Amino acid sequence: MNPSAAGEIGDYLKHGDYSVAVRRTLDYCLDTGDDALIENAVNWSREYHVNENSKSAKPIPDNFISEAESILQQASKIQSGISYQTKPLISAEKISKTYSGGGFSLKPINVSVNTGNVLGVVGENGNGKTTLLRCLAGQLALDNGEIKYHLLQKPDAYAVKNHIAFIPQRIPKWYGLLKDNLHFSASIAGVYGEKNNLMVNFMLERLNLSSYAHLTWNQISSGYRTRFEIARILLQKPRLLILDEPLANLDINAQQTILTDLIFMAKGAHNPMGIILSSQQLHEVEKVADTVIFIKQGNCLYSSNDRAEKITSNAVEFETAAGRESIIELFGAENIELQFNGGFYTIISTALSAQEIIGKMIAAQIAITYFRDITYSTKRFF
Amino acid sequence: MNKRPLVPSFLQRLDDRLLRNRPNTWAARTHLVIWFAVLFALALTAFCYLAFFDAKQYSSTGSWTTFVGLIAFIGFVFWLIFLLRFNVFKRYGNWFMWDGLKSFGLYFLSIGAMVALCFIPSAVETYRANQQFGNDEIVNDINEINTNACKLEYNLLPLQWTADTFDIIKRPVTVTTYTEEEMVTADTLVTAVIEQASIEPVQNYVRPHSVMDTGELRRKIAETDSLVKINDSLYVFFKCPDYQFVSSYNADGHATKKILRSADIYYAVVKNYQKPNNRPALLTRMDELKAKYAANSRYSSYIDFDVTYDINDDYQKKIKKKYSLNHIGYGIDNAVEKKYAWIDNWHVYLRFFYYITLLATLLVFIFRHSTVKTFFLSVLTAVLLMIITGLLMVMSNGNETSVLSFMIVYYIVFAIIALSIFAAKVRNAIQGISLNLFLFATPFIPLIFVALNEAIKQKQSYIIRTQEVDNSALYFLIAEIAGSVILLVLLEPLFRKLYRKWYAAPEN
Repeated sequence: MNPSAAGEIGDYLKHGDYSVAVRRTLDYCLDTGDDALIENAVNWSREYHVNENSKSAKPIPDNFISEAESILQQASKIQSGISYQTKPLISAEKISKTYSGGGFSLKPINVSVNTGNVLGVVGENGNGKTTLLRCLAGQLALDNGEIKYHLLQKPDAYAVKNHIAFIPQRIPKWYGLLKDNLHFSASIAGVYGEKNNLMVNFMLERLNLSSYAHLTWNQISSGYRTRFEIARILLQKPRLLILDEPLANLDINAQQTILTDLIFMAKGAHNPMGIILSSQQLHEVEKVADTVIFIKQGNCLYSSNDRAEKITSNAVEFETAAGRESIIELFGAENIELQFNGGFYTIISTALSAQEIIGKMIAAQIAITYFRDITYSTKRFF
Repeated sequence: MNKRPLVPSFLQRLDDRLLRNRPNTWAARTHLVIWFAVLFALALTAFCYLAFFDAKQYSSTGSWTTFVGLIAFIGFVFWLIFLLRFNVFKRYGNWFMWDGLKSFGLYFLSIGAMVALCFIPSAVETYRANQQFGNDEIVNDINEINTNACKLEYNLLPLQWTADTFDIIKRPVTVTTYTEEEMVTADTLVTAVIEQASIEPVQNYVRPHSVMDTGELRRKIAETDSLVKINDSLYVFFKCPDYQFVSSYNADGHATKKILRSADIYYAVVKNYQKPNNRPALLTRMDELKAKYAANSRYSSYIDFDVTYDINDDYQKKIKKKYSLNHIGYGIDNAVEKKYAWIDNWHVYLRFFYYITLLATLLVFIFRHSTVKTFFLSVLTAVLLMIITGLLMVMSNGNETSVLSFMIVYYIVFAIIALSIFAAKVRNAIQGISLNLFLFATPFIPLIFVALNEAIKQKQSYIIRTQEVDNSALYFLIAEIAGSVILLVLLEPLFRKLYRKWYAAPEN
């Protein structure tokens, strides 16, 4: 996060986007590394969340804005000059894996992730996403290829797993109080004493989990389990975070929040990390990922890194009450490919851009209820 | 704020501090186990102190120990399931030098605290018995009972000593029998000596001769009431009639005084008998001693003899029944057994404690460093190997040497497979099972080697064994200590590294 973030947070506060302002302020303070300031920010955030959860008539607590300004001012003084530097984290070259029993094969794939980068892995169920992630996490032995962990010197398998955090789709059950689990995770990562308290409180506030910390695993929903697992993993300060379908149990708002939170934290100076995640939520992933790869039947069919070479046509998808004939009539002379999957229409065109396509439909007064440019989206391959 | 019942605030603060600063120590929950063990121990001690108020009664510590053992086992299961859930090693946390050894030590302490609870009833019983009866007090009372009985019932006592003769014959040494044996025959030829001493010869000697070794002859000479050595090879042993109506094994083992033997009583009371002029006082004293020592006969079948009188009863039975001496003797036996249970058997208790704790600690340590599947497969493998070895022994008429040899072979195989983990790139169940069994067997390997050596020596030659000073107990003790030392020495540099490499390796 750069110092100009203070201005960005100021804008959020100015326009009433308090939730995002609180989250970003916490990140901003964390990057300063100043414990007293982080504690102030955590207390300030706690007041906000208590007020929010109490359904108070007031949208924000008293002195919320003035305290925010004070915190931001202090953070700005410390922040100048603090930023993360991108470093290569992991690179996998032609890694492949074949299961002896089922016969499934992950064909040779190249992957690389730097600190602060997000790699999205998309594909249909049973096509090798989880296998790829487990190979990268060091959980599955490779048949061929090589994985390099650039920040580790001659790592053994334990060091690799200490370096990487893997959150599976089915998160193993936690035992005991949720907060104890968080304290434990922080302390096994070397965060001791008061710092341990501070970081746990910070993470609870950052992910808005404070009001659930005294509960047990069975007392929270699957969405909150995912969020607690992310909090736990982040406290262990991994350099590479691998998440298998993290959005599966989250509602739409939570999906957005978690993804943006992960991106902010990945790029933070406190613990810059790389993120690899798999998901069926193509648009959400594509929105935040620096690189997206599409896997089908074990093959990497597409990587957004080399999209310029592979994408030669524009594509849009849209939903309309208009019939196929009226659409064909509108684009008849433009040499387009029109597909209908029962819900959406897809137009693929080498001549028309997405803006031109929607412009034509608006001009023809075709009522559109949904429209998306999927030219560079993996959605095209489904 | 206390999160658990019966946990005081200082312990809660300690728990919180360990959680935030010493995750490996916190995860073992030793502090909680020891706290609850101390609480339980205090309650149990108080309860046992009140319950074991009468040392002369039959000991019920067997039932108590079983009951406490079950409670401790439930505590152990509770510890495993509800407390031992956090694992730094399996979470790939920071794993420092000595953490493996520290974990092992903490598990040993926790399990030791639970196992130690089982010894509390016995320890309290011993304490209470020593509180109730002094060492010399029991010996004095036994002597008083026996001498009083002789004084009060002199007319019933036999006065004639019996004699037996032994002719010592050197026997040739053979490989298959013990060396330096002596043939000792009994006969009644030395009538002159016996008649001169007015002694009855042994009447019911049914064996023409008996064989005893030098040691037994020495013991007989030391224990005889009187001995006449007629020449270098012919002995006459004299035996005083039995005037010990009450006695107890080991009652004088830790006292400054000794229990009077029949011969002592003979010379003190019987030989120059004078009718007691304080007979009512003696009878009163006998009643006092009966009240002091007579135990409830509920747990002893032979006490029933006290209440059935028979015209054919000999002097012993008559006197015992008249003064309830069986009840008294039974009570004294109980008291003596309780008083010296810990003094005489501390090494047995220590071994029970040590081995139960060590075995459970090894299992917990392995469980915490292995996968659940591999742990149970290891248990299954061990059971199968025992069955297969047993079958092989049965089919090949194998003996102790064969069993021990098999164990050593198994150990070597497990060690080789486990050490191959250093070169492995994939986590393999067979290597995991071998590693688990390699670790489990390590503290016992020196014992197995010593046992094998002893078995071979015993098999090869009895001659060597009897001529040498028998140091096998010392060798076994050294092997026990060496096994534990080897385990502790190898735990960090070898087993920890092997587990780290094996557990973290990718699966196939």
